[in-house]
Order: sequence, then C-alpha cells, then structure tokens
Amino acid sequence: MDNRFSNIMGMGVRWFFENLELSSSFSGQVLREQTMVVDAHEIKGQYQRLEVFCQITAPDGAWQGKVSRLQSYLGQLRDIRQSLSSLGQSHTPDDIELFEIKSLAIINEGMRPWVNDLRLENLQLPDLSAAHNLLDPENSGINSFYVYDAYDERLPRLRQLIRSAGEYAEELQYQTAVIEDSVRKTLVERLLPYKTQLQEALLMLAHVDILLAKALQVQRLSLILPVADEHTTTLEGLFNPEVKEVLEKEEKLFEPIDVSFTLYQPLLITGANMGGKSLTLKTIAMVQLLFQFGFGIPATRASLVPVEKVFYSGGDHQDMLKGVSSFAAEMKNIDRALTYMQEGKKILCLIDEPASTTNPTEGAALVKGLLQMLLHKNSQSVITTHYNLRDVNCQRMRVKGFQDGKMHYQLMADNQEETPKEALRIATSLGINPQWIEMAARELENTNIQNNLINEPK
Amino acid sequence: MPFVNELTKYDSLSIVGLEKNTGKTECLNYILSRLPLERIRVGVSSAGIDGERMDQVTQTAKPEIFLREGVLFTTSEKHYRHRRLTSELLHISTEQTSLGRLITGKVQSGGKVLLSGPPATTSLKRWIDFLHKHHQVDLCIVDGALSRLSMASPAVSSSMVLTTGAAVSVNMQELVNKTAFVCELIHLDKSEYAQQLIHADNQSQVQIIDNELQLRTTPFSSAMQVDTGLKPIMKQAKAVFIPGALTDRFLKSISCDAQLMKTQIVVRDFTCIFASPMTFRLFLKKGGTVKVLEKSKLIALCVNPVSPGGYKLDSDKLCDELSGKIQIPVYDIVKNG
Repeated sequence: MDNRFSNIMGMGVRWFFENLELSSSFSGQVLREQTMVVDAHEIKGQYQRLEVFCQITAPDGAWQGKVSRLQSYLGQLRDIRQSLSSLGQSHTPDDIELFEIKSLAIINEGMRPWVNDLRLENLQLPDLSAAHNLLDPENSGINSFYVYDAYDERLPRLRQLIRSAGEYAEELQYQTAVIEDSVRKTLVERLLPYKTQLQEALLMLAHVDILLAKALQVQRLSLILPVADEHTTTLEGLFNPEVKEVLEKEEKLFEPIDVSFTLYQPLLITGANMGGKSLTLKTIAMVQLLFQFGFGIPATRASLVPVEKVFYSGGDHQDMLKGVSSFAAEMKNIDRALTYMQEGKKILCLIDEPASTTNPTEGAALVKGLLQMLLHKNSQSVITTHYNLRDVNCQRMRVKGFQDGKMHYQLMADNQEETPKEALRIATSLGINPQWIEMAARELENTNIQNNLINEPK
Repeated sequence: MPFVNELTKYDSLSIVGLEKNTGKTECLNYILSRLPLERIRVGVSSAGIDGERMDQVTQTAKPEIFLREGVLFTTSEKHYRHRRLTSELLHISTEQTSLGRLITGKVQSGGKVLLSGPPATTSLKRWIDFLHKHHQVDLCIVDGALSRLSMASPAVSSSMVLTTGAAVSVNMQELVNKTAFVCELIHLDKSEYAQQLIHADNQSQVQIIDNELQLRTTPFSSAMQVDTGLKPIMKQAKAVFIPGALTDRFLKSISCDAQLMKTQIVVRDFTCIFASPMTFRLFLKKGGTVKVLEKSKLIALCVNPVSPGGYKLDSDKLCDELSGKIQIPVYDIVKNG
C-alpha cells in the first residue's frame, strides 16, 4: 500500500476530508491521488501557501466577500484529463469535449487575476485567453459551445436552408455534419499548442480549490498551521475534532492533551483503562498524516518531524479469514515496522498495548525487548502498555487518570516505574458486582504481602 | 388544434401513455411542431430512455423526435453524440445515468434526436427547476417512459396529456373503461385540508385532521395497518392522509363500517391509487370520499387506434365513446393531425 491520500483515510483523516468543503468533486479526486509529502522543505512550502489562503479568506482578507463567487467558478471544474491527454492523438474531440475544454479556459481566465495576484511560488495559472478565443469565435463570452457559423463560411447558408426546410432534411444535415467534422479537426490542430497549459491549468485550479477548502476548514474548526522540526514532535492542546463533536453532543468536554516525543528514544505511555490512551495514539497518527498532507492541525501549538511512513498497530488483529490468531497477526505487524526501521527508513511507529493478548510474564518481556529495539533508531515511537516495566531506557508519560470521581485524560510526565493500580477503582465506578471487586482487592493484598516477604532482606 | 394553446398556460407538461405504443412519441412530436416557439421558450426531455428508433420490446417502428430551432433539450451523453441536428451545448450535469451524464443543448437548426433524460421523479423535478431558473424556459415537457404513470405525478409537472389506444386493449369497451377510470382518478378533487397536510413534518406517517380541525400525526406508516389500530383513530377524524398506496384491501376494510365512511381519505396524488375500478367506484357509491393533496391538469387525451399487432379500431367511434365518458378533448392526432 503506497502513501496515497486515499489509502490513509483511517485514523480520523477521513473526517477531515469529508469536512472539507471542496467546490468540485474533481479536486477531491486530485487530493485522493496525492502522495504523502516527506520533504520538510516541501511541507514548509505547502503551509506557506495555506497561510496566504488563510489570510486572504479571513474576515479582513483580500478575498473576503468574493469566496462564494470564486467557489462557483471552481465548482464547474470537471475531470477532463482524459480528453486533454488524447488531444493531438488520432481522436477528434466532439462538441462535449470541446465544451469542457472551453469551460476550463473560462474558469481559468476568471480565476487567473485573483490567483496570480497572490504571487505564490508553484501556484500560477497559465494564460489561456488564446485558447478561449479560439473556442469563442463570436466573442459571446457565454459558457456554451457548438460549431459556430463563424468557423466556416458555408455553414450559415446550409443552416438557413435547414431552417427553411421545416421538416427533417437528410441531405442538408449530412453536408453540415461533414463540414462540422472538418471544423473540429482544424480546431484540434489549433488547440494543440495549448495542450500543456490546459493540463497545467486543470491541476492548478484543483489545487486552488483544495487550498481554499483547507483554509476555510482552519477557520471553521479553529485549527492551526504547524511547523516542521528535525528532532522533536511537540503537540500542545491536541484534540480530536470528531470525538470532540460527539462528546459535545452529549454535553461532555474533550480534555486537550499535551504530548512530546523525539527521535532515537521511544515514549512509553502508561495509565488506567478508559484513560484515552488508544485515542491519544490514534490522534497522534491522524495529526502526523494531516501534517504531511498540508492540512490545518487540531491543537494550540504543533511542531512535527516529517517521516516516510506512519505505522500504527492497535486493536484486534485477529484475521479469521487468514487463520491467524490475534497474537500472531500483531507480532507480524510490528515486525514489519522493525524491518522498515532496520532499512534505515524514518517512520513514526505507534503501537497500542503490544503483546497484551499473551501471558503477562512473556508479554512484559516482549514489550521491554521492543523498547530496547526502538532505542537509538532514526524514528519516533510511542507505545502504550499496562505492564509494569522497570529499568527501561525510554521517555515515560502517564494518563492523569481517575481523580475526584472523574476521569482525566491529560498526560503527565512519569518518573515512577510503577503502573498505577486504578483498575479496581474504575471497575467500582462502573457498578461492577462488588463481591467480585472485593475478592480481587483481597487477592491483591495477599500478593503484596507475599512480595514484601520475598523482598525483605533476610 | 386548440389544446396546444392551452398548454402554454402551464410551466411543465408530462406526456404519459397508458401502455406502450399508444402514440406517446407521436403526440410529443405533434405538440412540439405546433407550439408557438416565437412566443415561449420550450425545453424537452424524457423520463428515462426514450426515442429509440425501434421499440425495444415489441420491435415495431417508433417515430423519432423532431426538434425545431430554439428548443432546449436534455439527453444523455451517448444520445447527444448521436444527434442529427446542430445544437449549442449549454450545460453538462454531474448527475450520472446509465447512458452517461445529462447534456443540455439548444437547437440551432432543426433535426432529430434520441431523448434519454433524468431517470427518477426527483431528478426530473430538479431538471425542470434548473431549466426554469438558469435558462428562462417557459414550458418544460417530459416524455414519460413506458406507461410509468408516476412520472406524470403532479409532484413533477403541473399539466399532462394522456395517450391511450388499441395497445391497451383491442376490445373497445374495455379500452374505454380503463381509460375513463384513469381520467376519473386524475380528476379527483384537491382536499380542502391539503394546505394543512402538505406542511406536516412527517409525510411518511399517516396523518389525520381531527374534529377540531387540528393536524395530528399517528404512529402508523401505511394503510396496511388498518386492522391493527388505525380504525379507532379514523373514527375521530374528519380526514385521514394515507402515505403511499391506496389499495383494495384498505377500501374494502373500511367500507363495511358506516362511521368510517364519513372520514375523507386523502392520498398524495392520483398515481398513489392502486385500487381496482370496481372496488374504488363501489366505495364512492357507498358514500366514501377520496381526495388528493396535489392535482395536475389533464389537458387532452390522444388516442392511437392501431395496436402493435396491427389491429385497428374505428377511430371516430373510439373518440366519440371516450368523449362521452370524460369531459376533456379527445384526439386522434394521426388521422386528424
């Protein structure tokens, strides 16, 4: 699977795509076909352009009040790549294709002064006025097309004869059709010099549509534009707008998260169940992908490290169709990420509770080993776990957790090497059978006493 | 012909056949050739595929549609490419049909074209609104496909021309009865509660107008639930709106209760009535009332006395018999055109 936008729609990116108010479905197609940008310089360029679009569409910006008019231009954009690329090959376009080429020229000419005035690098619309004039010989300025009388001096007379004939005139129709065909052939020859410019204009206009939609999304959802960093990813006030929306409907608040991690040293997140660890991990994956596709970011401050691939492992891996157990599927999945890293590729590796389906002793050992494998790699990794791991070289954070009868989802630095024992408290708050909880508590006490006896110096 | 002038008073027209080969396309051509194009702007399309040179079912010859200069037409990409006339392409819709996108053109010099238009009532309605709004069309004509009466629903067009003929039945009496029944349904009165009912929030539920003339929504979604609780509610109502189809079963079920018969039955429009002529008429005779929310104007009835098999009815006699039964003009356009 390559890093095309259409392939990375999971992790909540789809929500951003669906909430993008693109004027033309063709622009959506162009966006879906885009591949992830890896180069930091290029990402910077993307955000510079987006920043300009944010400025001009802001309440006091240059395009204020004009946006809907420009969107109605862009709304007429159609996918005519096929017609354009077949221009000049043996195929002669019919009226439908010529109409679409003319429409493209009209949209381009309408948008050109607006876009070119911004003087943005890599975003200049070509001059298509000559192509437009060619398809509008009577200078009507209207978006319509037929083989106009002006193209051939024989046409007006023939058409007049057809009109006066009243009923269907086979011979006259035939003669007209022959002339019309030869006109179309000449038209193609005369359009051919503009082929590259037409293709360029089509893609450029789609990019304008995408940028405009992204800028409006930034304003609508209060997003920010991130910066690229070489070593450290820092996300402050991170939120997941999709989940936030759901919570707000239930009159609940989304607690923004601050998180930071660097290359070479993995980050280990521990914490209670229901503490939002998985959501945090998925949101990090989403933000990284949004960053590399030039979207606004749901945070108050964000700097990210561009990577070649975002790798996420979480949830149930079981694949009954392939006859693989959840443990085996998960192991193979993580193994793929390790292979990438060993090949020297820079990736973002996010693993939600690895080895949690196997027995705790081996599971903990596997996670500990994994953390050692991830250390000193030219990649970033974030791992969540329930296991109580000591003596590992990694950065640690934990979910603030269950306090004052309420779950707090924020992350905080954690220097203790103990997993907080909150499972029983949470289970109680869920109204689980108290007898069961009590027995578990007693069991826990016994284990602690035994551990203390063992650890006591003799 | 007088009825063509009548047509110009409406903004939309459906031409519907009671059956295939009742002369629908012929009728459309007839109307198109006589409309005063110097006065009004006309747009034409079809409900689904139409205008084939050969009838795809019975393999008989079909008349093609001839369009004069100035007429706007909408057809599929495929049929636009095969047109035999000069036209200015005005618009390409994003809507897809089985034959490609829908293309709207304006005839520059007359000729023939195959029409294949928006496939569903909602998209037909959108098409009509689009032509009115963006191309200043005064009259939109929909060529209904294959005896699909629903395309003539007042939800789509405000007026209609119905075609009937020997293709419906070669037994003249049966043909006259069937046709008269459809005309009877089209002529059903608009309910005096229509305004109230049309503004109901949930049009897919059974609605009632109670004795205090208040609109109330019931938990029932169709007349099929007549025996499971709808009856007591109906007894306290002046009128009941039935979403969907009005069937024999429903009419039979309530016609045995004198109190229920006092309640006015309201359906969306005539295309929602699926009851047989006998049951429906018996219901009315017993004192029941059926009214509609929306009504379209039936302007004329055109007849084709020739059946696809070649059997020919006496045209004059057929026209006489039909005009005796219904109160609108009846024409045999082939004979008298």
